[in-house]
Amino acid sequence: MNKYSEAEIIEGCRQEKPFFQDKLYQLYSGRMMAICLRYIPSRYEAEDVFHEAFVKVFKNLKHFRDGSFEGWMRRIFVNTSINSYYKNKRYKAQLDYAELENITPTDEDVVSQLSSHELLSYINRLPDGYRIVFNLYVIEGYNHREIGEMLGISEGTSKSQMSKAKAYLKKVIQQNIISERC
Amino acid sequence: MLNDKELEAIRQKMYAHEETPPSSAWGKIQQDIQYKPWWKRMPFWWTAVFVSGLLAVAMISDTISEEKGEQYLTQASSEKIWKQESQKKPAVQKERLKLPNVQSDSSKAQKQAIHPSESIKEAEKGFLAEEARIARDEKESLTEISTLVPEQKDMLIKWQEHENQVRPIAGQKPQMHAFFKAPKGSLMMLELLTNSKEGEEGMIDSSEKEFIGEELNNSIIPSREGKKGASYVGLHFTPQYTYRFIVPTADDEIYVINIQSGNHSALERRGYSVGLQYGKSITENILLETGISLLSLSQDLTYQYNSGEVDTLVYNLQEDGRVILQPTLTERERTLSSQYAYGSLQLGMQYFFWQNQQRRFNLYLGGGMNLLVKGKTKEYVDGALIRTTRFPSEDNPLEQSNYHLQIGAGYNRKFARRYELNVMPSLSYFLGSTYREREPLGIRSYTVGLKFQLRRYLNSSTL
Repeated sequence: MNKYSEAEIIEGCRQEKPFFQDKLYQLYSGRMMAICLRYIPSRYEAEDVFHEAFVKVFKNLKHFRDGSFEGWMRRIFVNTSINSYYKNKRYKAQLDYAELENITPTDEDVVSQLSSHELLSYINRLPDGYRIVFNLYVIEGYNHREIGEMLGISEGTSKSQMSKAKAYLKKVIQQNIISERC
Repeated sequence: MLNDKELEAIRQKMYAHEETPPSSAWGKIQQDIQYKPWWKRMPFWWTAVFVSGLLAVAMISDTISEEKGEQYLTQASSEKIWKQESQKKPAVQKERLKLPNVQSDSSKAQKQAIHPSESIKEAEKGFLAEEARIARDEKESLTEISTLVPEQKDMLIKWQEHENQVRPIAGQKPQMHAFFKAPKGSLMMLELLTNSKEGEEGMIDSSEKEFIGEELNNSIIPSREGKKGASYVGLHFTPQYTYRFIVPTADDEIYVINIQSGNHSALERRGYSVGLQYGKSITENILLETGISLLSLSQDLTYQYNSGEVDTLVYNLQEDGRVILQPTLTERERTLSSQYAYGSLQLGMQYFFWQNQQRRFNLYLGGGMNLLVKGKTKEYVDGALIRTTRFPSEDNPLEQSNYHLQIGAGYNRKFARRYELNVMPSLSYFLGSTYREREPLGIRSYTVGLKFQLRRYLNSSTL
């Protein structure tokens, strides 16, 4: 059981005490690893980003003042993941997926039947551009203006990508559920 | 399309979702965040360069000091011989002062020798001053005996016993003292032996010369003669770091898109070599060496590729009614992480230069035949571990054999009578590719290492 408050752990980490650094890592490593895997499907690359981002967290603790510490950490991990994606992947011209989205999804609620691991695997099947916008909008809670600033795209493009991501994800999930039932 | 309710469900599930990080992740993060003193923060190869630089400076300083020491003792020993002569035979010394090989601060006495017409009273004053100086030197020499190494003390004791038996007359000590104070193996010792004239008063006589010669042959002082044929057994340890070239082979349909060179200073690429050698000199400067070693190497490689599989087909309807298909090929990322242990049979040649009785430098050229004893490669595709391949296989134990070439330049230091330490930075280039049979590209490795070899000569008289 954790005897220390978050503030005590953070203060201990600021003083570079290994005990508190270990505590911080144990508290947040699972969720931060999940963030890396949502943006970077390659496990090998995601582990590199995980390492890099955690080192940034410890080295920049002195800059954290107030607010949600987890939110502050998440921003570091999200930004590091996105930077890694753009650094390591070649630019891919946006393909036209319009034809693939002509299938009309049903109203059936498919998400409630899925575990978080299954959802992660479906999210990772999204094309890269869709996946990043989807993660930032739906899970991290950024609005389209903020997403546009982060990714260097317009607000309209972000909305368009989000719309396509929702349709594509629904289609993928439904197809898999149908095939499982069959 | 997903509705708001579904999106909220996704958000809640994914926000709290956790994945297990690799077990070694925290250790690596700790290494990066903990404060280290500057000498721990240096990467491996910088450390090797720093150590090599220190060794080079030490070697050069050592060499310069030896040469200066020899010059000093040559002068000092000559002074002492002269002082001994003046103490024993003042009358004779007056005549000997005429000899041209009287040196150093005896300029006053030298003037006296050149001008014998000066009064005897002046000469006697000079001799009295010299007597006082000799007395001081004798006292100094007694205290300095304690600084002699054990082998030198043994020799001094033997000499004193010899003195008591053969010549119980005091007066030879300063000369022998010069013998013991001269650096081991220095030319000064040989000069004392070879340049002294038999029968000359105050100089070494034949029995003393024979004694010194015998001690030289049997002592820690190595002789320059007879180096040809010297043989040794050696033990080496070489920490090393592996680099590699990528050599594409385009015999299949896999198209490599991008190769990641990875972290050039990754700790995973450290390795080592340890082994036994036997060497024999064929000339004074050239030595042949053979040996067996165990090499441990690590490698990693990551590349993106596509195999021609179509991931997505995009239909584009043209204005004229034609439909154009645009395929998107499947791209995958593959990582190969390997560790190898090789048994190696090596053969090489050393050329020695700039050598004296204590140290020498060498150049090395050699090669070896390597057989994989044990190895494994972990294959990851898109981050997931696919398989672990262990080799060599039972069907073909020789499947993983290759060769390497090695060059190096080193420093050798002799010590403790029969031992020699060799420190040598080396570069090894592996000619074969471990992946040539199974991968779309080959890897040619080369290693940079710092070799430490301890040699024991089998016959001290031929060292």
